[in-house]
Amino acid sequence: MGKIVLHGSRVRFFHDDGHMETLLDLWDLYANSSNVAMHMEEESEGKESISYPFAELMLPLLGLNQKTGKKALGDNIFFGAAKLFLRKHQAYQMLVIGEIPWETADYFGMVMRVFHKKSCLYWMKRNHERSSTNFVSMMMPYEHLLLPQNFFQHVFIGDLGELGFSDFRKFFDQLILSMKVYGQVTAVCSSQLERYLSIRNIEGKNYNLEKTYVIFTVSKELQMALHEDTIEFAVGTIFDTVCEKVHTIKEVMMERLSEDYDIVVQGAKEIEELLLAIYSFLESQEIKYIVNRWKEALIQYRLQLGNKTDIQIWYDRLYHELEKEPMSVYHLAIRKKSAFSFG
Amino acid sequence: MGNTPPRGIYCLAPLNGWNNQQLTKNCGIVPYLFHKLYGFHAVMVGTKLGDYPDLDTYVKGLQMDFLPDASVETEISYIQSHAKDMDVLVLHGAYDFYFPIVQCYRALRPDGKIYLELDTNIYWADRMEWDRAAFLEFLQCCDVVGASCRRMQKYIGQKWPCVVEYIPNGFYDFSQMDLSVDFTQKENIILTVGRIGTKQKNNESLLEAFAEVAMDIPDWRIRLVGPVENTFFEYLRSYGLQYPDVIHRVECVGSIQDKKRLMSEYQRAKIFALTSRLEGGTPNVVAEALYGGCYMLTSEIDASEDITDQGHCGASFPIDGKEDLARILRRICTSEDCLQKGGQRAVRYGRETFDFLKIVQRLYYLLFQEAPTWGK
Repeated sequence: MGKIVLHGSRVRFFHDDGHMETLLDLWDLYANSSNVAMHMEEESEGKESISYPFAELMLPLLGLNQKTGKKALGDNIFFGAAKLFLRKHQAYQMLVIGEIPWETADYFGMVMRVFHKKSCLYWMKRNHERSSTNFVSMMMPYEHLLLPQNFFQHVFIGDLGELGFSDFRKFFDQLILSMKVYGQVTAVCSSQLERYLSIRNIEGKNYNLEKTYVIFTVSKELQMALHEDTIEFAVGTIFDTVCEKVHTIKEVMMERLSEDYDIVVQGAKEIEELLLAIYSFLESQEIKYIVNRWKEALIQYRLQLGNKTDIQIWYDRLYHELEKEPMSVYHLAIRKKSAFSFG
Repeated sequence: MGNTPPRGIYCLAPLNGWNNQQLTKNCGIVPYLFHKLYGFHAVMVGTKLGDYPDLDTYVKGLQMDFLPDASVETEISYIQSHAKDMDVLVLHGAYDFYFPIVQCYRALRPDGKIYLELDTNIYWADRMEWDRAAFLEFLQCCDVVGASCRRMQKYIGQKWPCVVEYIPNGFYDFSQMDLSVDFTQKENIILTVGRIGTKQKNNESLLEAFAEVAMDIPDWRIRLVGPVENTFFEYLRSYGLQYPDVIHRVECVGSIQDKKRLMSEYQRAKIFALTSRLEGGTPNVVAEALYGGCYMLTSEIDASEDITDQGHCGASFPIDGKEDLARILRRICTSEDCLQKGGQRAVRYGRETFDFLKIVQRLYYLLFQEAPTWGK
């Protein structure tokens, strides 16, 4: 029966017939950012011994079959991810969705922290039978993902068929929004995934291993496009429109009455309707009431039943309420980001 | 060139039908003024509830269409046969039975206007399941949703996904009365007007508070105007036994139908007191009392700030707060300056805010996005 042996940094497989095969040399990863030594020399009782801590750490990630020497996942997905993490000394956040062996998650989570103590593996699945200090267990309905934005560098997704829901577009959109730009997604290939890649015009690379995997990178353009597709962006855009319209009406609201004043009132009505549409997203509870009071003052003036003082009073309150709305700051940040992205 | 037929404004009764009193309250005044000022054909629709002497006396031109019953089917059938004449449909209250009626109207008159008047209070609004799909659809069909006090406008506006306008229950001078108030002629009267003796109106708390301060304000008296519940007579008997020196200063006037005579009550009284436990929006008597130049005392119902103009023409006290009311009476009744200034402010405030001629003008504008033309 064959077996796998680590000779220094070389991973070797001994066949039944005694033939030895070198599977790979982990010294190829010499240029890595980890603080794990490639080799260490120790002397004990006059004898010298050399160890290869880095190779020993990385060996389990290869997922090699002990009996056959074959790579269970080829260039194992997790080994591939590790090679990415090793490039720079940086905290990495990785999300795994679906079923993988607990031991894999536990070990990989540990390795990630060895490379950088602030790195973390997040594992999301329907039920977690065992926890570990080496990964963060997450349970949430896949149909309603609630993930931080711009957070993960790597996402690994198991078989989508097993995940048991059908709205893949929303699922992947949310995942991509949770990733950093240039982050990588590795997923088991499926027809739903292929459809999604086609809809979003994403190019992925296929790897035929035990299963077929697709790996693709999240581009800046893709993430911006998704972000603009979100309700938050739409709300921010409407809020901007409100502010512009309020400013426009301010210029004319104190003018002398004429038949054209109906246009001013109509403008205020439109502002009121826009604010109504996004009211639930706004911090202010008062703003609906205030804009209505302002509109009321304009109508009273139009009908020669009111005065300009009331118009100004309620305009000032509306302006103040809009100004302190966090939405205005949020949307400014998004527009700055988009300006940066598109030069 | 033919004459354009007049536009129609139709008011559907919320429960059964309209009573005579409602014809000269906000329910009847709005369609009446649309008829009188803008030439609308104005109709109150519902089952017959008694006689309607005010139709000829005060709201001539307002029409009543009587239905055989108040079922939804009957009302829908009415809508189907009259939709072409119904340019404006007025509803009172966000009741479930209006939902199919509104859908029917909308289907037949996509160009028609629906005005939903909310005479509601916070307790009712709080219990309402406003996020039901059927209710949200109903709201979307309404062109103008109006609340009769600022607090409800704000409160409902924060909950419901619609614009809520402020359409107060105002005052209309039906009888070309002399509305000038001579403050030198006002008397030391605390007036209350309404259904005397009902649990809602809580008139007992006014009498109890008055009894507490009666010795401090010896030349003041209370006048109770309105129909009196039988049980209240029992109460008055025991009140008289308990306060034999005060009972003669409490006058039960009874119901006053004549508007001029009723206004003269307000113009005579220095103080108007409202002790209600609950009201749906702003009671109609409030506008009358403001026009009458009364200093306004009110329990802290939803409309209390509207009633007192934020304390500038009156004061409020907690619901059932006899002691607080007594304290206010002791302070106010001995301050002529406060009463006069408050009363003068009440008149100004009433004419600015509660003039139904102005209110209806603005309602017209909200419905049609244009200024009304007289007789249009």
